[in-house]
Amino acid sequence: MRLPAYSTAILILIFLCAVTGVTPLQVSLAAQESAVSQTDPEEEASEELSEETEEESDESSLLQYNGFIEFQSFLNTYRDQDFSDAAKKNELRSRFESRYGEDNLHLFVAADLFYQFQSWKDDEEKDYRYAHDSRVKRNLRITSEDAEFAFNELYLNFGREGYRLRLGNQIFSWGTADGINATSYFNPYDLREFIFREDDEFRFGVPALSGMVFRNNYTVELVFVPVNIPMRLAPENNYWSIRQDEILYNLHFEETDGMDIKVRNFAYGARISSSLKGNDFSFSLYHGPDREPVLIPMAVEVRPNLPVNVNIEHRYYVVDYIGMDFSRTIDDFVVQAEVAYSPNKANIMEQDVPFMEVRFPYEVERSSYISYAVGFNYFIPLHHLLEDHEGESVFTFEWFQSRFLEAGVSQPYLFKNWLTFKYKDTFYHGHIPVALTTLIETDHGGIIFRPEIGWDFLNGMSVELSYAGISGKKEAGELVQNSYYNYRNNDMVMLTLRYEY
Amino acid sequence: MMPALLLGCGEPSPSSNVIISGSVSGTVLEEYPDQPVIVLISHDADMNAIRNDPMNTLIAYAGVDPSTRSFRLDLQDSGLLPGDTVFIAAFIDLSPADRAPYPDTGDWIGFWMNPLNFSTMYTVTAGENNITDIRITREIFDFQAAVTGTVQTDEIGGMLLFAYVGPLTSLNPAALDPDRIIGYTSLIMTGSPVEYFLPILPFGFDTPIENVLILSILDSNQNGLPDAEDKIGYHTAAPPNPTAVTITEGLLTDVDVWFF
Repeated sequence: MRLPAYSTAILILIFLCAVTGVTPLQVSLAAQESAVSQTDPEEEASEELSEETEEESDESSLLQYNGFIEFQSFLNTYRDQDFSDAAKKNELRSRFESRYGEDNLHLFVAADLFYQFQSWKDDEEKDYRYAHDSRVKRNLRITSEDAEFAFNELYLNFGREGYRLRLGNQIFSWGTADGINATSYFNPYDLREFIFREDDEFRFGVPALSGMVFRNNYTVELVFVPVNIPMRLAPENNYWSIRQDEILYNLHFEETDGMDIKVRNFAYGARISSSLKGNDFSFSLYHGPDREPVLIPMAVEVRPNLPVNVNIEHRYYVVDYIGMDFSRTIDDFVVQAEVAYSPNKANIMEQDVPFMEVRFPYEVERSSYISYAVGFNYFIPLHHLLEDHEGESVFTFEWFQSRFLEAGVSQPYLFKNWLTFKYKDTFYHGHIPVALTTLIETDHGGIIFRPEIGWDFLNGMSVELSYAGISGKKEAGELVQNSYYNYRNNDMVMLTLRYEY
Repeated sequence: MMPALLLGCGEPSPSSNVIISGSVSGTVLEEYPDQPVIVLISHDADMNAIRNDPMNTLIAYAGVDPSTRSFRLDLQDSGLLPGDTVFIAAFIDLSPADRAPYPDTGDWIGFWMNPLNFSTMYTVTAGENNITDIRITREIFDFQAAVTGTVQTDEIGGMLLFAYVGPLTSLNPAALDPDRIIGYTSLIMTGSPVEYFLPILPFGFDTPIENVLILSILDSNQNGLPDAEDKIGYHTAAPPNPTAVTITEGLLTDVDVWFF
């Protein structure tokens, strides 16, 4: 099934029809403005004075900003180590969001600055690195070992009634799932802390040109991304790096800057969203580099006095997707579902043999692939039981699964079969936020248990304490063990101090 | 920064602080200078277990420095403790580069052997264990063979039983060529004949292996070392001279050992 040849035409046709439909409305607005401008001179002077006052306040409203400064510390609770080695992450983060301009024309920026406090450690002792070396990435992310400066959102927004255009780094939050969004095709994940990065750190912005058309009954969004931004795993010798405790071999991941910038590697997609009788739904199409790379074991490398290295390459392939998402509110429930299908997603072929008989490099094949999530949010009417309870109690359940449908193709490594249970609430007039999350990876019996509690001073200051317990089972014969087993000793206590402004 | 009590109390797992170092040699290394040489350390010398269940059999598996032909393996995190016994071998991998190095048919191997009692199991001590040079002199073949029989003696004590590819010029253990020892086992004699099972290593010689002598050394003075007070036994069909056998694939039975 070849989509690219005609999908481009379909996408352009949709956009042109939508824009053409807005034009008559623009003419009508212009005529109304002309009629308003015909007033007497006294009124004009009065208006000028009030306009001057408005201008001063308008100037200040042109610039809007907010952000926070946060300190976060991770303490590993693995017992077989010295206490000085247990302090894994001590990070200062500054988040700054700003909009300069008016609704119809403005510059928006969401920037993050990260700094890791570990200068007292020798290089060999450091186990929390953002990157191996200092570089400027394609999406303007400036990264080094101990610090990082990212502009995940940095775009110029231009709009009129009925449509808007954006140019620059953007994040496209397609999909309704609370966890992994199958239809979030464009933005790669930042997995340098597995899944423990905050929601606003979990995905990288991508340089894009996007347009959205707003009609009475539907909206259409078109996206064009000329540059492939790769996903990131933790670098080697990092607390979150994928490592094996196997005697036979060590894993060495070779990073990539993404696919070459060529026309055939451009990404583009479209999404149409609408509501009907209380049901919100969307359909989407995508063509371009896959969000996740294929991790290909390429070769073994013999090293003196060390286990052999299995060199694993991140390689991206151009794929096509068709997807949809759905949500509906039924009393206190919000039910949601999301699915994406690809006829040509790539992955490595299985080799069900002992390590000594594995052949390198692994072969790669394309296969039909499906990924979906179903679940609900239940807004618990706790005030019926606790009279003074003011917070919003929410219980979330979600089942996510992804599957290659061709025989012999390895199943996805990163996100396979996940069950999520989450309870979230606030108590004592919003001062005490609590959450309890359990993630279960059903293929390998992996579990993440995460309770959280905090204190919100309600003046911008907040503190949160949480714990993450990770357990996983080893699977015999797997060259790269599943993430839960890989991180089974990464149990940790997390402390977060935040000031919002 | 965080209270220490959050870490929980408990004894950390024992750390062994065992390091094994040594060197490798052999003319095959000169013949194939660019091929990788691997040193492996395992719980026993069963190559089938190493082949079929490497994850549970191997303790270490690492490259030898090609420039110095030496190795130094820090086994601190392996769980190995002083007093444990290990099998130490080194092999040169001549297989195509599309696989992980593995001692397979056609490769060459050498292993540590106690020159006094021909044991292939090394007893580790705390700290640095600098073993003697491992000579990679045996080609690896693909066969399974063993010898069984009865040691016909009423003696008491430890016994070494081994298969030796002749010719044999002297029964003095010091005169034996370790490269010609193709099977080894140890028994405890309790005053009556004991049946034995002697697996034949698929290294150095390929079946059929002719002119193989089944020899034994009875540690009469129980000092753990072969010396003049020990008794020598051997298989014979025409006493008092040793009789050689031919090892073929499979089990060779009724190869009794006698003491004269």
